[in-house]
This record gives sequence, structure tokens and C-alpha cells, in this order.
Amino acid sequence: MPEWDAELMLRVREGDEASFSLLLERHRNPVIHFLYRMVQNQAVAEELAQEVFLRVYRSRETYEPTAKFTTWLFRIATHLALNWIRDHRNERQQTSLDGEVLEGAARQVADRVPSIEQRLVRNARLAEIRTAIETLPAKQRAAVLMHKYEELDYTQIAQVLECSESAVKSLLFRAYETLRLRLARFAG
Amino acid sequence: MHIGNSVANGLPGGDFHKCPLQLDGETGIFLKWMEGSLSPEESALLERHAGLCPACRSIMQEHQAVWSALDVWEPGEVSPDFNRNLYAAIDRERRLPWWKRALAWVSPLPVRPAVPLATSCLLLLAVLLFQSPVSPDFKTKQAGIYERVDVEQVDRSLDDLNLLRELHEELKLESAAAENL
Ligand SMILES: [Zn+2]
Repeated sequence: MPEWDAELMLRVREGDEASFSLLLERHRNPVIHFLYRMVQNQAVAEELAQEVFLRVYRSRETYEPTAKFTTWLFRIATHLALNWIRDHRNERQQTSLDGEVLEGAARQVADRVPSIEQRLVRNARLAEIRTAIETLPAKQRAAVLMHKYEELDYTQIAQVLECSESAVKSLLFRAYETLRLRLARFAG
Repeated sequence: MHIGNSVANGLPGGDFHKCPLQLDGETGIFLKWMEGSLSPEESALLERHAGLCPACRSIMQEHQAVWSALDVWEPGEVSPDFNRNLYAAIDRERRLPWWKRALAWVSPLPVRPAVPLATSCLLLLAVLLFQSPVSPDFKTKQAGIYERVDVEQVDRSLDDLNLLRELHEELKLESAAAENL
């Protein structure tokens, strides 16, 4: 009995377009959010996500549920994100942390009406977090983002990154250790 | 994961450098504690140890701070045009001639200049396909190697072959039509 997502994908294979819409609704935001945190640019994240879902649609006729749908989906997304990061490595070093940082942070705290000082502190912390994530090696970054935000388990992350579970544990250990050392003062 | 009593009880004299939990290979325990995958008993033992071991306490506080700090980072709003743009792209692709769809398949990203290589690969595939028809157990064989080969490569290859089969059919229809004229 295939999982629900795989079932939907099999229906898409049979020509049921409504099932594709359902899959899109279920997975659109997690995929875009993951890509956004990988490339740290909303427009690029959406462009890559378009490509992810286009590839899902293109694959409908040959789809076989041999892996969990989410794993397959994040494998496509990660592959595209890693390619993009590789191709734009030099540009990113110059343009990281643009105006998006402050807009994003300000929007989150607007409801609670924080003081200007609180907002500045929070924005500065957010900028540090983003920089710390961005400076992780790309595979470590992908592993942390899937582990922390998308709640993929070690097995799934290993399948996405095409490595062993022990390699995933090692990637995560090194990544969180780097983040701890860079962001340790937040504990104060 | 086993946390022995000596660890849970801390080390005499506050010698941080010799704490067993700080040694390579054992430090994965902090990750498990942070993500909440330790059993309640293991968590309680580790926390009891941290109460007595300042080094581990400090590391755990820092991990906790990082874990909470990451929660603050919310992604942006998704553009309201996302779905519309996607369906428009799907629709555009459906209306493309077969060879342009084939190029979209073999190009890793729309903006990357992989077309000459892709075209060569496609021509090579076309030659192979026309010379040796696909055997009936092709899909079974493909399913067998699915686990071992990159998912996308397999998907792409299968769809390239489908497109080439379509081309084969189109060419057959065209030549039949030409003969009827
Ligand atoms: Zn200790």
C-alpha cells in the first residue's frame, strides 16, 4: 500500500490533474521554505521550486513509488539548490544579507509591538544566524535545514544526500558544532 | 544509548577535559538530546550529569540557545502568483514541439548553457534507440537499478526515451502520410 503522496502521484500518472494540485498544495510551502533557507533569496527559491514541481510533473509517466515521495521531492530540491549554490558561490559572498533580513525580522515581531531596541537586537541576531547557516558547507547546510525545519529523519536525509546514515550524523554533528561555536553567545 | 553512572554522577574535581561525554564519538549525545530523541530516562541522566559537570552544562546551554535561535528564522511569504506561474509553465511546456521538451529534460536548469552537450547526448540516445528497440522488460530492469542510480538521472533518461519513442512514432506517422500522398 503506497503512502498517500505516492498514491496521489500514481493518480497523476493516470492523468488526474487534480491530484497534482493536491500534491502541490501539500508540499509547496515546505519546498519553497527549504530552498529559501538554502539560497537565502525568496525570488530564487521560488524559481527553483517552480523547476522542482515542473520536474515532478514531467516525471509523472515514469514515476514508481520506490522511495518515500517527500524524500524524492527533497532530493530534486536539494540537487537544484546545490547546483545553484555552486554556480553562484562568488556572487553570494558579495551580496549576502541584503534588505530581506530586516524586512523578514520586522514582519515577525510586528504583532507584538517590540521596542526599537528589541527589534534591532532581534534583527542583528537573525542576521548572525543567516550568516552562520550560509557559511556552512552546502551539504551540511542542507542536512541541518532538513533536520531542523523539515523534520526529515536520518534515513531520509541520507537518501536525499546519497550518503550513509552515519555520514548524515557526522554532517549534522559538525554543522551544529560550528553553529554552537559561532552563536554560543546567544546562550548568555 | 547507554549513559553510565560514572557519567551521570559527574567527575571529581571538575576536570572538564576528561569528561567522557566530551570525547569524540560520544558527543552525538548532545545532538540527540537537542532533537529530543533520547528516552526520558537518558535525558534525565544527561541533565543530572550536566548539573554536576560545568563543561557539559555549558555545551548543552549553547546547543539549546542555537536550537531556539534557529526557530526565530521564519521564511518569507510565498508569492501569490506561484501556482499560476507553475501551471502556465506546465502549459507552455505541453505546447512545445517534442525536441524543445527533450532539451528541457536534458538541461539541468533552464538558464544553464548545457544545450550543445545535451543535444549530443540526445542524438546518441536516438541512434541507440533506433538501432535496438526497447525490450519489454526494460522498465523492470530500470526499477531494479532505481535504488542504486541517481533518481533524477533515471527519471530523465526514461523520459528522454519516452520522448524519443514519441518521435519514432511521429516519424512513422509522417512517413506513412507521405506515402499516402
Ligand atoms: Zn560532562
